[in-house]
Amino acid sequence: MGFNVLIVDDSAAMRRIIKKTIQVSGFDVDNFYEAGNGKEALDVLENNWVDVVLTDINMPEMDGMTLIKKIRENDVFGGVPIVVISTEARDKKVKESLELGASGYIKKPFKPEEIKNILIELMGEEYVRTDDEYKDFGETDF
Amino acid sequence: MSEQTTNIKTLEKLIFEILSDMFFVFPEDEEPEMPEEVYEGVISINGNTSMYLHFFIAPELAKVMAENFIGEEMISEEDILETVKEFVNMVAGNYIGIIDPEGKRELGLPKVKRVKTSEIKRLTEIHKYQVESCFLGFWVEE
Repeated sequence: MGFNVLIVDDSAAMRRIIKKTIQVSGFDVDNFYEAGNGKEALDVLENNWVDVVLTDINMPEMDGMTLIKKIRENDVFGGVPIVVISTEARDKKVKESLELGASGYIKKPFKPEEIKNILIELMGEEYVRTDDEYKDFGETDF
Repeated sequence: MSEQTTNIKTLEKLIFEILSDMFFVFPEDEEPEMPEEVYEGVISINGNTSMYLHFFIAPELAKVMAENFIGEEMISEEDILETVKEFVNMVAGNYIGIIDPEGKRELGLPKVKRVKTSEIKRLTEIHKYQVESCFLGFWVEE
């Protein structure tokens, strides 16, 4: 049995890249959910079980910071781990997101290893398949 | 060196780094030829004073960038628009981290559209480059 991932980014292309990165890293994922902004992400969380959220910051309608705050205020899904994946890597932004309750922060462009490592840290190594077909992307940046 | 020249050099360096690391396309030391149409991406950096970063990318180059970025050969117009948007977002996100490390300024949302080159204002102020035999330019509006 795997886990459920919610990817939040206003770029569908970036959502595809993050999804591919997780798949090729060999994680056993049951469901990938996607949202184009914070509002859509809250809808997904209200209607589905999600084990980890990967979110951008700079998005229309509801940005990532507001999303983190709203998630942490929720009694049902408030404890879900949240990883920020953003081009915004200024100390103030990173600190602000961690203070709001983000579990980790990855700067774009990112290396596939960064996502893999943080998911192992948050979800545990038991979710990583060891089959030969699941190999690392190597040093490629995304 | 004036502040403006320094900023242009900083942006130039960031653009080239992101183009090669993320999109696997490389600048060439040639005089670029202006295409009839380009994708124009714009993003604002807002604070006490606002500035707009404008990027202009030849359609052929944008397509190659999208193919390399998404890692697929079947690329739609939507994929190209999103790839250019992500490129603009990454350059601006990294740029704001350099010019405003304290986080006093905020990044806007990138917008991208396909335009005729003849409709571009301030054409003479665009910094022009050749990348993979195609045109790429940018202009800082302050």
